[in-house]
Amino acid sequence: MGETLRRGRERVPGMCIKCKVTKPSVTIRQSLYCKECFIKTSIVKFRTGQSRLRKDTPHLQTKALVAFSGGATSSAMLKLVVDHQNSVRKDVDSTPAYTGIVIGHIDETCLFPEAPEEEIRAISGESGLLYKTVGVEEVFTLAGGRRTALIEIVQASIAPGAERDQFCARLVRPASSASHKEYLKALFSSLGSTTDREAMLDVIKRFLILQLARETGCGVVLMGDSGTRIATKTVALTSRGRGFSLPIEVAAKSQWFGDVSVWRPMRDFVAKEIVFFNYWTGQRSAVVPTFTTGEARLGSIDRLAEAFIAELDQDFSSTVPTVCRTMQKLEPHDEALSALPCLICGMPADDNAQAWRNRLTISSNDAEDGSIRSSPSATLPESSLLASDNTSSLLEIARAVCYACQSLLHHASPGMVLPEFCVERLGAQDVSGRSAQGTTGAQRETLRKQIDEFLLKDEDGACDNSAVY
Amino acid sequence: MPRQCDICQRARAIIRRPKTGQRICKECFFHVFETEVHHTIVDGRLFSPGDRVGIGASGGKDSTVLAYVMKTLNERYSYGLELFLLSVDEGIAGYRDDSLETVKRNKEQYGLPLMIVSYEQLYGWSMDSIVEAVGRKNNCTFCGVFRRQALDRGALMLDLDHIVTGHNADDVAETILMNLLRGDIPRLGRCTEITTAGDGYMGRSKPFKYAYEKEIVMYAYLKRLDYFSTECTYSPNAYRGYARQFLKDLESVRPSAIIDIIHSGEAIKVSEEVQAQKPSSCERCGYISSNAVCKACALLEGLERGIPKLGISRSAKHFERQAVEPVHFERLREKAHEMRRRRMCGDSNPCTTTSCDDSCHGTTCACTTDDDGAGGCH
Amino acid sequence: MASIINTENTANNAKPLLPKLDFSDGSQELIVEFGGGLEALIKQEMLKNVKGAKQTNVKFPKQINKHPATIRDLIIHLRNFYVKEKPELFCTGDKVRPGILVIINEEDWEIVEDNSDKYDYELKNKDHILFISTLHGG
Repeated sequence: MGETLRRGRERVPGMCIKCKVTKPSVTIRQSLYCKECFIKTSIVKFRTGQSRLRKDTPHLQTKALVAFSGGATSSAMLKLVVDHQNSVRKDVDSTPAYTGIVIGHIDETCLFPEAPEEEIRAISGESGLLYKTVGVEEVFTLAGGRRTALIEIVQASIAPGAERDQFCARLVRPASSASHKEYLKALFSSLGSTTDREAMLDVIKRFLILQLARETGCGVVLMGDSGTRIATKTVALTSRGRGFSLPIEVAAKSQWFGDVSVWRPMRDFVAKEIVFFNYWTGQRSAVVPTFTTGEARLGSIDRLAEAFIAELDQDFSSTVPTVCRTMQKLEPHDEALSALPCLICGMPADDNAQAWRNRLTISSNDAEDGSIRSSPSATLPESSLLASDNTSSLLEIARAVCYACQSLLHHASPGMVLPEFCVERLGAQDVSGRSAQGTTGAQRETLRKQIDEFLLKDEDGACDNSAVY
Repeated sequence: MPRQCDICQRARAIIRRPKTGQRICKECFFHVFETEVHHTIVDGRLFSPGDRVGIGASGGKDSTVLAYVMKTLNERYSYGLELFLLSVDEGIAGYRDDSLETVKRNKEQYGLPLMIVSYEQLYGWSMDSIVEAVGRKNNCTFCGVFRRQALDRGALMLDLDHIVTGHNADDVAETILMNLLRGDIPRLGRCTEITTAGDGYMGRSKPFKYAYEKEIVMYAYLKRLDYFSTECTYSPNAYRGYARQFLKDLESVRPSAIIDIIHSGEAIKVSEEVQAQKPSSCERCGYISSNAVCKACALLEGLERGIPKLGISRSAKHFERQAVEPVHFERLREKAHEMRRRRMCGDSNPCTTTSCDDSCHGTTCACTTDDDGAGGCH
Repeated sequence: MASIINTENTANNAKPLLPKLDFSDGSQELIVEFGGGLEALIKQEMLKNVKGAKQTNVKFPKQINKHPATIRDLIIHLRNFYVKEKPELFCTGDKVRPGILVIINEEDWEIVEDNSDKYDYELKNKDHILFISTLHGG
């Protein structure tokens, strides 16, 4: 096979593009491969991708956490990682890929009782690796067991009088009477749309996966986003107003989380390649339910974006690779890298988002508009747009929530209970990670002081959230 | 019981606003719509007092509403602008000739001077004759490229400081998506800019950048504005069709998505090394171009030689022969300077429709307002 | 082109939907498998579990309207008789929904000779046909 692989680039009509002697069994973007060559090519592609990811840090010695949903891509990734790890170990000249591998899984049974957890456990068991799982509801368990004060942002009016600009969310410590599962269910039922539920689940899963990585001492998290998924996310995140953080959220490699580096080694594979790789190598995978399982294209923005990419890719087969290449050329704004992490999603919060929205989507007839009417062609300074009675500190909260999460808060039911990871983000416990991006503990402390008047003590009894249910 | 307006709490709500979902009354709708455009103009620092501003007028809803709103805001906020209607006649029988009649009525209704430049006169080809030569597949490429140049030529003939076009939020969102999907990095960076450089000192901007198409239609309807509402007879390409459908679906899932995409587009930063190179000018017609020969000249070359496909391919710059010679931009710029000088000296205004008739020999024409080169048929 | 397409979907070469398959020109056995979440769309009683895979044996005519039966015919048949509800999640008209892959006898169905239409693939006895969704959550 080594001989045939080196035979050059010319194609033999009707034969595999690699070995040129076998009838092909799959076509990937107009290239024909036989089964053997396809599997080999996939493995080589994965390993090449791994070395590209390690290029800046060739001597990186760390454990890796494989973020494992049980779905097709993360199952393929698991197989490829294990294969790579084993092959490198045998090869004396190579550096070991990682000092160890841990499988990290988020158990979503709380939201999806039909989630195939047994099957997922079985698939991961075949690898013989350490399998760490955490329930999605555990986001309500405060990391490190630290007891933080209650924070309430209730009816926090950002632009005075503007109905749609009121934040109805609360950031609270769960009451002792309610279980974490109940809190989680209440959280999801108070979100305004399926799109918001998907967004929130993504946020929680990312938070928990990073927590798992820290707990198990992994410096790298491997996310199983295929190229098709990257393209879908690009369209969906853009549509959700997440352009500011898009380059981070789809990056091949991101240091945004400071202490844990997030890699996406599957981005060079389109969905079709993953299906064939799993099928021909006998790699099992599970069908992981989502909020839009069994729904057509209009189920949510994510679902629509996925259908859109699938349709486009059918007629223009280079769509997915083109989008992935485009994404590689984008980089986060400097302002994004030095921005505070959003209280909700942890991604950079563009602090002018609220002002931007208010200027271009007027939803009230307040003094601000009146003054514009009477003072022609004057650009009002931002402060006069927004400052009014006691809202200045609330504005600061708005600044700590990114544009997309502001929308999420706008559409949530009053009294929504958010997990305490939001509170965690205000704390200074992970300054080490943040300082790399220029956000200092001092900045965060300032922010914390600004919302202090909304911090309620446990004994205030404000955590009685029975109304939520 | 009739529902009250969500904004003024007094009048009866008659519409559900597409952008916010609020139920509001007619007056409040006019107010928020106009004020948002005003904010767009002020925040984007589009004009200076005394500017001569051409409104790209096609007779369609976007440009008709734009002309009306520009006139209204200019008076309300004393912008101090001198407004003109500027139309391009692509030469599409049964579509453009009819919509031009609307523009001519608008000229009377709004009391604004009108100038019309035509493809036929500028390039020797009407769109109908181009389609006859190249078929229906790539005709939007020709139309988009030619229109942009035609508007700039018209603006120079009028010595304008600025052109405004009726691109709305839907157009901008669609363009952002298209560029993202096609990997057109330089355009991705440019397409969210509110003002792009026109020819030389001239600016070109889109005051409706944040205005929803649906709201523009609603505004035209409620104000009973006179506009022409027929789709271009030549349909846009398939790819844009996908993006358009997606956007429509998206809006039904989440109405704010259009503005959210624009917010995203503005936040996306393009890596330094892939920034577009500085444009120079076309060696044939003097138009700004990053290649030796501008796209319009290359397309014309292909048309004249009977191989229109060549003009679309990337090898356009190798062409040597030129068959049609539109007026050189240097000459247009000289004339514009001359007009400006005379105006400064207090000569009687040489630049109304009357003097246009001198330079374009009374040809009539029109324009739609899509200048992003990716197809201009609304 | 032979087909058993429902009239609503093919205005051009409309053939009435055959309520029952016509086996007068002989029959063949097909093994049809569903994966990636598609199995959830199929009527439970039609499916059996074979080594973790959800599949069904389909007795299918050799010929439809005097032409060899194609995979297009099979897709329409499955849509009409096997899909529980929401047939649009399986196919649009007579085409499988974008994002669903078809694997025939362990090979990509897009490998077709001389640019012929993959939907014209003529079914053979004992063919194994796998429909697998690449869409999230099936």
